[in-house]
Amino acid sequence: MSKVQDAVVEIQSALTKRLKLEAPRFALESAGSKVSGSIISDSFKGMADSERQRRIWDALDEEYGAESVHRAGTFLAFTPDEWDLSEDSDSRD
Amino acid sequence: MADESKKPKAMGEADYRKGALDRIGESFILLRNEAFGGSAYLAGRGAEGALRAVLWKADPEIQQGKKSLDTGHDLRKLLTNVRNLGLLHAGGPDDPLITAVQRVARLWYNNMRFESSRAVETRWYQLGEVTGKRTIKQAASEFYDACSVVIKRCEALCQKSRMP
Repeated sequence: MSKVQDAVVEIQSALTKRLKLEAPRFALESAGSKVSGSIISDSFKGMADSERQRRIWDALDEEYGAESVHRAGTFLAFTPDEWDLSEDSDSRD
Repeated sequence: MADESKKPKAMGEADYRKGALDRIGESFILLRNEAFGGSAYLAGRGAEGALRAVLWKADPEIQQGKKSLDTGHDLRKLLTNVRNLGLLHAGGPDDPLITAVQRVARLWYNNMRFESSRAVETRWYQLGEVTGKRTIKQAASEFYDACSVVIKRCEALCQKSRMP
């Protein structure tokens, strides 16, 4: 596995464990030394986006400490309903 | 004569998309550190970039340079252009995006980039967004949430397999 894949897998695993994510799906990519992308899980239901971000960054800080800002870029946190809207709109036309 | 190869490359869907992701990420860092003016400015800029990414990806004429993407920084106009491409439908799951763009467009303005956080707070006070009972912290947090709705929906639209 490449270093990039390693970094992506490590972040996925850390977030799944720390946030106790239910059936998570990830669409992450590495840009330079940082991993960014989308996280999809029912665990975000009922939370405003700012709250989702607080939890994600608290989890990353717990896992990596001050290193977190060097490893992580931006994560968008979706519920499955929010993410799968694109499929719904395909069939609406 | 200018060397054509040294001209900056025109921005495309991926550039706008990744820029929007970076801006909303940076906005949250500022929000977390209670730098509300900068947070609001970057979140709004991210929303603009995300709408531009969708337009670029969905409109072949923009990709071919036959049509300009330069709509200024009018978020409502960008939303109208997205809607005109048949990508949004009122009265359904796109409603949160439409509502969020209206909310962001009311509070965000391009000159925010020059203003102090205090000036942004004063403007939002005049608009009734900040009141005696509703702090700039609450207002900035909800503004961030609205921009996130826009960026996330645009990200999902960009993932649509049917889009060119």
